[in-house]
Amino acid sequence: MSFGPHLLLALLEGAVTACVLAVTALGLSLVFGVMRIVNVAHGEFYMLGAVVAWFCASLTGGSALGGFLLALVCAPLVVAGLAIATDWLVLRRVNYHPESTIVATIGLLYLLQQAVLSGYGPDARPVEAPIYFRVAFPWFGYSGYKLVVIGASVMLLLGTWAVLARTRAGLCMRATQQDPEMALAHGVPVRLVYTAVFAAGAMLAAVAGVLIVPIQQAHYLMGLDPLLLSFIVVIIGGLGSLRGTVVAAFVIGMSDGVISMFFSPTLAKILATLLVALVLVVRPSGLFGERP
Amino acid sequence: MRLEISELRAGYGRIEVLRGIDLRVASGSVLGLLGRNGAGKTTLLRAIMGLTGTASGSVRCGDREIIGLAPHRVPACGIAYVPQGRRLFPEMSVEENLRMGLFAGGEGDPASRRAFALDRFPALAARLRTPAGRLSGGQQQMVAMARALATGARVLLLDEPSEGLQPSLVDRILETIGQLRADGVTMLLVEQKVEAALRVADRIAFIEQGRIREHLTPERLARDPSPLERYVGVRRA
Repeated sequence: MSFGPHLLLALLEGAVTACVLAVTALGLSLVFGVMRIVNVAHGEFYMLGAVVAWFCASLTGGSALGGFLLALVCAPLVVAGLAIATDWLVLRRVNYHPESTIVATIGLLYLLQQAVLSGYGPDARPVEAPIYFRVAFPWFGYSGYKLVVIGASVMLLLGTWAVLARTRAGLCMRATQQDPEMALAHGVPVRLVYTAVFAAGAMLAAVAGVLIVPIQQAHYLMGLDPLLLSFIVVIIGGLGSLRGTVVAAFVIGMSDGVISMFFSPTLAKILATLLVALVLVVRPSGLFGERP
Repeated sequence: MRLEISELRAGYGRIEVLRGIDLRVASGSVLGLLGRNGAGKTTLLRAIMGLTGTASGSVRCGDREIIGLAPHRVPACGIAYVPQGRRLFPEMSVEENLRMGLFAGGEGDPASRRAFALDRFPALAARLRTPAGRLSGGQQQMVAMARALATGARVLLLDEPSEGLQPSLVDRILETIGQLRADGVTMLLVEQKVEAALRVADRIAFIEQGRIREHLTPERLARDPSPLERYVGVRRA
């Protein structure tokens, strides 16, 4: 294959990575932006989404589409329930204190990993793609499901933006992000907003897990890479900046796709890490973050 | 709507700042609260809104008891807070800041509350889409007050509304406070600028070490300004 088609293939692969990463990182960024806590267990919500998708596929037997649709409903609900329980039982008790929540979510990360290892096992398990079709380019055929993943991710990103920008709930979230005490003084139940945001961030990660599992397989350690990449994206984009998160996800995802294709995935990770270091030195608040 | 505060005690953690405050603000009047830094002026306003931790005693807004309510339920009782330094939502537009006031859910329908707020600050009508953080200090103060009025509040807690403003804007803010009083809005006004408080207040209360020490009318203070020196450190001829 000549360079042009090769590049097109790399860009398509990069777009899939970027879109799923944007959805995952958006959840992390939303939680940090509004609640000012770093959720180290965010990758485990992604992993749980994938594992729930595998269970749903097992339940529905032969119908891959049925299992996928069931997973799209069940995974976010199950993970949101877990996030709400975490918020009530852990985060509220430490009063959302930044350092304490980091330690608490590290604990949650290991708890979830070990629970899934015990109940689901150590094996990576495939989930069938819900639909099969190939898009025929003149040089190669490409998985239609991956294009569906891109489309679904873009819709999720737009939906999240619409909620934040156009609804009363979004206004309350933004008010809480900018000044929680003043939000309280204007009738916003800030603790309820925190619970909702933590659940919403977890749901975004879970949906990303459901979308990716037909491409990657479900495994109890699969949350670590997305967590690392989400942190990279959130740091480059600017902590708490949703626009920055999406832009950085596309920069990281696309460069990951292209560099992995032409050189090696390891080099892509090295360059992403170097980019984080560069951003931290030159612009510590990130590309779109507020300057201190 | 009157505001009645009885035996209010509040502070931060184990530190008690308010040590039994008793105050009455008659319906449609302005009570100026003066005192030195650290006397408890801002803490009093925050305690009324439920924003400081430990509060006991009684705060009645009209017939409703506020102490013990969740802080986010306080604005629905018809009371709003204009904090020191304005504390707008800076990345939101002026319109969105007003919407935050409308959501707070006081009396009256949202459209008329919004109209009332903009009517008091007509200069804001041309700035509705501007992010609040990009406005001048005077405009930000107008937004802060309009946001509070948009809640439909009949009681306003104003914490140093003239802070950092040039004299012409201070005059504008004081004029609006006078208009609001004529509209029947009850106001508790904390001020560092003694002259500003004396211009608009019906009564002046002095706070020292978390207690109200004296209540006076501005006329009486004009005759005997010694409390100003005693409680605020301001000497007048």
